[in-house]
Amino acid sequence: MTRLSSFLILTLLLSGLAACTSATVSPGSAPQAAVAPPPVQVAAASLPGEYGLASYHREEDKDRTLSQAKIACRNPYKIDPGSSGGVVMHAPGQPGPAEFFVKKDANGASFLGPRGPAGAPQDQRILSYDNGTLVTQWVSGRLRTVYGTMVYVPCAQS
Amino acid sequence: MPVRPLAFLVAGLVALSTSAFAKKQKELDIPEQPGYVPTKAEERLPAKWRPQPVFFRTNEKPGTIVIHTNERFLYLVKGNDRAIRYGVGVGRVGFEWQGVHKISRKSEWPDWRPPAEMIERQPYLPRFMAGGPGNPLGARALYLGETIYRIHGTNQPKTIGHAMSSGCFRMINPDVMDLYERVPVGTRVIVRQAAKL
Repeated sequence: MTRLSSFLILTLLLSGLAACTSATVSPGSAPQAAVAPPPVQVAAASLPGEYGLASYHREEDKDRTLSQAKIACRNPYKIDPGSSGGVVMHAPGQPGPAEFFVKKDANGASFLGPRGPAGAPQDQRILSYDNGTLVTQWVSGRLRTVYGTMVYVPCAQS
Repeated sequence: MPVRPLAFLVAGLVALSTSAFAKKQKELDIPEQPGYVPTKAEERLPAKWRPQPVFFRTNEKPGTIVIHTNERFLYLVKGNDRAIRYGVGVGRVGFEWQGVHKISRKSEWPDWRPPAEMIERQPYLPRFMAGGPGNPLGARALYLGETIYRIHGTNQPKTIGHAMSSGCFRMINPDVMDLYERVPVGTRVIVRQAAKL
């Protein structure tokens, strides 16, 4: 084998290794921007009714909490229709129920709260609304620490 | 007769000490604080309520738990008239009880269901809150027989030494975690009330 052919073989081997290496650093593995959750479509008019209400902090407790929310229909939380197109609900620290509205911020995220800008501390962010089951988190960090993720399961379906 | 004044004096002293004790041990009227996570400093109890080895004369076997409700102490019997003593919170007036049970179940980070009267006052409360830091039942629970009563943790360290529960016994989380590791399911638990004068 000539010196030139040995060089060519070595070059090919090295280029092959380089290809293997570069394959592990594909464009797809580059850091990606956080993907915002898809906007949640919910109409206030669809919310009134009785719900089993439960909450959890850890993701592994989610399924168990959903089951417990159904059981909680024995002592349901009632959402009434409001007089101005919203719904009547309660908020921690407030003296009584108030009319809440479905609001959207500039990013398309949905919130449930009193009249005013979307995403205010007294609002609940709507994480999902699926088959009548409403999942929310309080915007206020303090309330989120206390209650975690709130699950409202419609009693009529449970 | 010299006996009569002495009897009155003794009765008076007993009444005085009983009322002073009752005043000292008065109920602590604070609501549950779901979600509140106590600081380490808050969980550093006054020396009296911290776990400690004590002299404890008893015929109970080592490993038995004896709760002296009026003293707000839980004793884990170690044998040779020794025990580990923990400070606890106990049932408020009207919720005192006594009896003998066995630990039927142990649970880490137990779930909490607020009582109906609490939901009536705060309708927005979840009827079920999965266990975790800030849960009023704390880090561990030891269930007593088939009763509704438990020995459990708390996120309100300041309630230790007081009578404010609905009959359960509460300990700060580090203490209940310590006890949890020391006792198995089946452990005999004796709840005692001192006779009232």
